[in-house]
Amino acid sequence: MSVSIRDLGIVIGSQTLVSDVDLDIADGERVGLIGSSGSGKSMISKAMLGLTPDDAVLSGSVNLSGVEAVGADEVTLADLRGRYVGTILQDPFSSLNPVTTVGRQIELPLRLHYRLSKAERAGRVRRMLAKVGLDAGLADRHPNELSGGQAQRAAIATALITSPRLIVADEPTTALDSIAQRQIVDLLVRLVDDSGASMLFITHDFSVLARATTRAYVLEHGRVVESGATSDLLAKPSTPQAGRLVGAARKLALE
Amino acid sequence: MVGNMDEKRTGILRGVGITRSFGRHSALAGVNVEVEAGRCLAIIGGSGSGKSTLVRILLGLDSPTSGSVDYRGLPVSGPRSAGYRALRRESGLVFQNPFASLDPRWTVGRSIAEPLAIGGGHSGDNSSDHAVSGRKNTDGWSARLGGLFGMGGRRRLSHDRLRGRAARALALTGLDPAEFLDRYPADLSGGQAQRVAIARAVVAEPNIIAADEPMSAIDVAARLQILDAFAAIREQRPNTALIIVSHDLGVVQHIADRILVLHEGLIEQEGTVAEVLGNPTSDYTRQLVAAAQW
Repeated sequence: MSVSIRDLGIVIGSQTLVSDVDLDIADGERVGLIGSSGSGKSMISKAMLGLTPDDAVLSGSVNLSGVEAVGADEVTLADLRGRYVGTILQDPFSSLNPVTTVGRQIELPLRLHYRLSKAERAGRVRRMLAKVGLDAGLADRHPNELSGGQAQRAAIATALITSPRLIVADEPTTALDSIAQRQIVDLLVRLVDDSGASMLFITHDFSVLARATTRAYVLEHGRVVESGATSDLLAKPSTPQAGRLVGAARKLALE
Repeated sequence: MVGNMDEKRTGILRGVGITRSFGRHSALAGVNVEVEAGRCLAIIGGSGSGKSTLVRILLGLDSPTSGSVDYRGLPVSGPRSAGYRALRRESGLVFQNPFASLDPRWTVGRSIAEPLAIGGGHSGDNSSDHAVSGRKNTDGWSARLGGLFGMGGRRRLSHDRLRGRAARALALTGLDPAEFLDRYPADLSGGQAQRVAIARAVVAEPNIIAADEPMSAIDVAARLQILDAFAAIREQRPNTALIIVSHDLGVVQHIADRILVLHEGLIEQEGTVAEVLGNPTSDYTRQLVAAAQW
């Protein structure tokens, strides 16, 4: 799925959170959005999904393969979110329903958006568990019985079960330990590339961005200050904002 | 390396054979650890490795199932033990989420000064207490802190002294007291709030500062400022022992003297930063090193 954002503005009350944002994601492309806390990156992803707060005023355009998300009715947005876009958030334990088993959780989007037999759904869940590297036996467990890395794998399985054409991953590794972070980024990249979907990957960490994306936008105070190939941004950041983020990530990594 | 290597090293906090079980689950299985004055120990491990449990036990916030902890030679065994009481007075804590550590209704200055009003720590010198006292007792917090906590035989500190001490602690973390002392947590970024939490942990000039994942919830650019704050503490308070808990070897490489790698409740490897990074001796340590590489 391709994404074309033009002149996006988001205002809540007297606060302008996002302004003049242009952002493109080609079909099958992995694109990053990087910035410090409060730079507006999550708000942009929420605008793509029609999930901005009720009092947010949006201007401009968010076009998802021909469907305009800004100002769309709830039925259109729900269909978009349910069938075409998969979302992975920071904290898997708040994404997953604590009273539902992992298997039922992963199956739910299929029940809501597709007419499949029970056996077909069970087969897809089984195959998806294997794809995200979870043991089939974990399907009967509840989220509290999983580690953070396992829970994020279950959340990824839930997001990908409908074979979405766009994956929005908003800080999917921030709440995980460093070993699980690396595994989850590598898993996501592999699954996204295998499925041919596009991905918007949101992070504040250039070392994660470097592994997850091929092109990226640097955001500060709700505006895009720099964009380009991720490798170019890393090698030669041309704005102080990007330079600061790259420098910090390099200093906090091992050579 | 910030610590003075020539100085005689003294273990001030020691855990011997620490085991902690939760039901059938064994979180720690016979861990020995020594924290030295003036040195920084990093306890590294993934989620569920037992690292937070170990720090809680070392600081007397939890009791081991078996094994013992002593602080300056005094046993830390429950709230009435001499070691526990000394440790409470002479240690400062920093947690992962600064907004959960700070009272949202209190100004930064009041939050930082609270440990002094409770009566913790050393009296400190008063040479520059008035340098940044600036405002008078505008929101009356010193009187309330004194009223609430200034009992138990310790002398109450004047508002100017509380404010001066809070200002000095805040300046140590790189935040300008004139700009930040009268703010509320809601007006701070995550990195700023964590530096306020660090100022609060150091204000009573503790012998030990323990920080449990102090950078995990903070964005990468602000993590450097947190590291700078710890480095400044080490420079200006050279006898303070620092314990930093983290899952990330990259984050602690610049600040730690020694690293203890914990995995499933056991010590996988222990050594200087150079030893652990240069020669990881177990699969798990190698995975940690790989995960922190660019």
